[in-house]
Amino acid sequence: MSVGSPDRSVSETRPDVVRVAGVTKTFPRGNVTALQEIDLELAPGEFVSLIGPSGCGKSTLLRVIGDLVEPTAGSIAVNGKSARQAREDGDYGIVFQEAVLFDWRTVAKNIGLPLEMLGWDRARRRKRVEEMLALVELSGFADHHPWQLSGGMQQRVAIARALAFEPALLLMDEPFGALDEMTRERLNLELLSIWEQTANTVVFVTHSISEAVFLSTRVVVMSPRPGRIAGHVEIDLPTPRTAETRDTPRFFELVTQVRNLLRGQGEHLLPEEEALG
Amino acid sequence: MRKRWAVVALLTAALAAVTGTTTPASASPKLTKVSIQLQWVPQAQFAGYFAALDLGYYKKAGLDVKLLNGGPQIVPGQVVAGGRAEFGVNWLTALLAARDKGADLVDIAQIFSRSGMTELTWKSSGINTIAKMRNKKVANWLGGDQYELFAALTKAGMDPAHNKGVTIVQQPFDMGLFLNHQIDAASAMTYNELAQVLEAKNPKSGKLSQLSELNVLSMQKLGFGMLEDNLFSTASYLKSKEHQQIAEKVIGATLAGWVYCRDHVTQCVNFTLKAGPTLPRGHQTWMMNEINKLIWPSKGGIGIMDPAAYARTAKLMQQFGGISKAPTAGAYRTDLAKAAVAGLKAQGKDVYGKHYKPVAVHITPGGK
Amino acid sequence: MTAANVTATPPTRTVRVLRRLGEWAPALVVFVLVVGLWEGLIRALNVPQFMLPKPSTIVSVFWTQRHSLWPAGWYTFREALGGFAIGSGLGIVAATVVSRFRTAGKALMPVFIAANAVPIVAFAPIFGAWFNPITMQSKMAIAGVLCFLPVMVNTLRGLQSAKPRQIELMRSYAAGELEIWRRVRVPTALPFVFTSLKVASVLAMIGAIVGEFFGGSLDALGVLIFTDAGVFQFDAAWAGILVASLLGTALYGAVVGTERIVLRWSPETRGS
Repeated sequence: MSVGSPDRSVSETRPDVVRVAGVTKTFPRGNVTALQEIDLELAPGEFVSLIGPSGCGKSTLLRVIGDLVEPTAGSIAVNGKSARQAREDGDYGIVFQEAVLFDWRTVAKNIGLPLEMLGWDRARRRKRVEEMLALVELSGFADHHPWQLSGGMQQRVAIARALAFEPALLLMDEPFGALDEMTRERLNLELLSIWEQTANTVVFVTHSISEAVFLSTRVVVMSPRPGRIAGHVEIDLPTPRTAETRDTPRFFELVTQVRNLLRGQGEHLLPEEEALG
Repeated sequence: MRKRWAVVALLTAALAAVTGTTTPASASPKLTKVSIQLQWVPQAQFAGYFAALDLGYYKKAGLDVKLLNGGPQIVPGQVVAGGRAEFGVNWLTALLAARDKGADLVDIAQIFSRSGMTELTWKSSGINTIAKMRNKKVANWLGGDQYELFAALTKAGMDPAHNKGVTIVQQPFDMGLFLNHQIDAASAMTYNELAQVLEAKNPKSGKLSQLSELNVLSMQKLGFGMLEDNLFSTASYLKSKEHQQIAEKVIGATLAGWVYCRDHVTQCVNFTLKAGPTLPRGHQTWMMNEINKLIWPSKGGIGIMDPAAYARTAKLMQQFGGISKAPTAGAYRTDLAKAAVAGLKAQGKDVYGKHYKPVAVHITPGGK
Repeated sequence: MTAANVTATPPTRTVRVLRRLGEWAPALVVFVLVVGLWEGLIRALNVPQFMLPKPSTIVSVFWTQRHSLWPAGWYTFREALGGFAIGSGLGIVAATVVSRFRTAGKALMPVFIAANAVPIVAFAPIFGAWFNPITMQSKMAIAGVLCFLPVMVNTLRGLQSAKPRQIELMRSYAAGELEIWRRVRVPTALPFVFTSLKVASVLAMIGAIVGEFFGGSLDALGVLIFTDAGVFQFDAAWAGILVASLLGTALYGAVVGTERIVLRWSPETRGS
C-alpha cells in the first residue's frame, strides 16, 4: 500500500525544498510586525516543527511559505521556484486546524477534490482515493459525509486529501490542536507512519512541545513581538518512533531543551503550554 | 406682582388648551356625536349630506356629524354592522343581500327613488343588448352594486355570480379600463361614470367621447332598475328610544340638505368641492343635476319608501339569485322618515319637488 | 461540525418514513383541537354566521362552490407561480452580480432596499396601470416584486458565507475565482437560497391575492374572496381563503420537497 516516491524529483543542485531569506511581514492594521528577518532552510525529507507562544508568527510563516500571505520584504523559494509558482504548480498540500471538509461532498469526493482540479479522470481518481483511504485507515468510510465522522476522523480525511496528489511539501497548521490528548497521540503515530511511506518534507506548526519533539527531525523555536526565530533543536530520537519513545530520557532532555529556548526569551509560557511539556 | 399675574395667565392658557375650551366664559352645548359612512368617494352624490353639514342643519338638530368617505374597498354595510359608524349610505340591494346573510341592517330613509345604473358599451363593439354580453368582459364595482346587472345577465341565460358564460371584471373607480377598450362593458351611473367617459378623450378618435359613440343600456329602462341610495342603520342600534330620536334628527337634517340642493345646484357643488373630491367642478355639476333627477319629483315625499318600488326590488333580487329567500319584515321602516318629513313640511319646505326641472349642463373636458 | 459517532447501520426506509410521520403528529393534534374548538364555540355561543362561519360550513361551501372556487384558485396559483419564478430568479441573478462585482453591488443595494420598502398598496395600482390590470401579468409582477428581495438578500449572504479557510484551501490548489465560485460559494449558498425560496413561496401567493384586490376579474381567487365578503357571503369568502391556503401550502411543500433532494447531503434536511 505504499504510495511510492514522489513524481517530482527535487533538483540535485538545489538541495533545499524550502528556502526563506530575510522575510519580514508587517500587518498595516495595528502596525504588527508578525515576522522579522526570518531565515530558514528545509532540506528534503525533513520534518520541521515551528513552535512558539501566541503571536510569534508561526502560522504566518507557514502561510508565507504557501503563498497564502505575501511578505512585506524578503524572498521565498519552494522547490527552487517562487512561492507563487510553487502554489500554482500544486507543490504542497495543506492541513488546517479545522478539517475544512466540504459538507456537500462524501469523504471520497472530498479527498478527490484536488485531483478533480488537476483534471484526473474518474477511474484514476477513484484508485488514488482508495489508496489514500487505506493510508489513513478509513477504507470503509468512502461514502460517509463529514458530519458523520468524529473530529479525529475528519482530520485524517483532511490529511488524505492533502497527500492525494503526492506533493513534495506538506504544510500543517496545528492540525491536531482541536482534538483531545489521546486522539492526538494516536494521530501523531499515524502521521509518522504515513510520513514514512510518503517521504515528503513537512512543516508542522504546533503549540505543544511534546508533540513537536515527538514528530520532528528538527524543532524551530520562535518568539513574538516581533516574530523571529529564537533557535533550532535537532531531534536525534531513533526511528520508527513509538508510544514508548515518549518515556525515554533523551525525549525528556530534548523537551527540556526546547522549553528552555522558549523560556529563555523572557516570555512566559501560558499555563497550558507549561503543562504540555 | 406683574410676574405672578403673568404666571397665572400662562397657567390659565395652558389649562384652557388642555381642556379645549377657548375662553372660560363661553359654554357650548353638548352635541351628540354620530358618524355616517358614505357609499363612495366624496362627490355630489352625497351633496345633501355636505350641505346639511355646511349649512349647520346637523348642528341645529344637536348633532356633531362625521361623514366617513367610502371607496372601492369600503363596504358601508360592514362598517355599520361592525359598529364603526351608526349610520351609512348604501343601496337597497346591498342591504337586502346583507340581511339575507343575517346582518340586521335597516333602511330608515329611501332617498333615491329611481335607479341611475347603466351598462356602457362602445357602439363599435356591436354589443347593444345584454344578451350580446355573453363571453365578453363585463365590469362592475362588485361591492354590492352588482345586483341589477347580474339580474339582467341571469335573465339572458348567463351565471355572472360564478363567472359562467361571461367574465366579470372588478371595476376600479375610474373608467380607464373602458376607455382603453380593455373591457367590453362597464357599469356606469348616469351621474358619474357616464360623465367620466364623456369628459375623456376616446383614445381611438382623439376627441372627447360622444354619446353617439356609446350604447347606454339603462337598467331602469330594461326593467331591472332597483332602489339604490338610502340612509340605513342597524336594528340593534335603533332599539332605544334615544337612538330613534337621534336617527329622526339625522334624517330630518339630511333631507333638508337634499331639498336645498334641489334648488341651489351651484351652492351644493361648492359644498361638494369643499369635501375634497377627485373630479372637478364641471363633473360635480353634471352629477348634482343627475342626482336631483333620481330624487325629484318624489311622489310620497323625499325619504319615504314607496312600498311598490320596494316590492319590485325585492322580487327581482329573489328571482335572480341576489337573495336566497324573501326578505324578512323590518328591512325598512318609514316611521322615522315620516316624522322627519312632517317636521320639514312644518318649516315650509317643499318635500315633493312637483315642479322640479333639471338644469342644462355642458360636458367639459376632464370635467373641469 | 458535530463530532458524532458513526452510526453502525443507517435506519431502514420504513423506520425513516414512520419517524417522519411521527414528526407530524403534534401538528395534527393542534390542528384538530383548533378546528374542533372553533366549531364548538360557534355552535355553543350561537355566533351569527355572517361574522364567523363554522368550519363545517366552510368545508361544505368549499365543495359545493368548487366549480368557481377551484378554477379561480388555479388561476391565482399560476400568477403566484409565475411571480415566484421570475422574482426568485431575478433575486438570485442580482445576488450573484452584487457579490461578484463589489462596486456594482454597492450602487445597487440601496436601490433594491428602497424599492422593497414601498408597500404593496402603493405599487399594486401602478403595476395595474403599466400592465393591463385584469390580466395575470400585473399580479405576477406584484408577486415577483415581493419575492425578489428576500431571495436576493439571502442568496447574497449565502454566497458570502464561504469560510475563509475553505477559500485558503482552494487557493492552495491555485483555483481561480470561477472555480472557487463553482466548488465552494455556490454549494455553501444553496441552503440559504432554499430558506429564502420557502419564504418567497408564501409571499408569492399573498402578492397574487393582494394584487387582485386592486383589479381583476372573477376568474381570480382574490377578487372572488373580497367580492363574496362585500356581499356578506362570508362562508364563501372563507372557503376561498381555504383554497388560497391549500395552494400556498402546496407551493411551500414543493419547495421543501425540492430542497430535500438538492440538499440531501445536509444533516438538517435528513432530519437526523
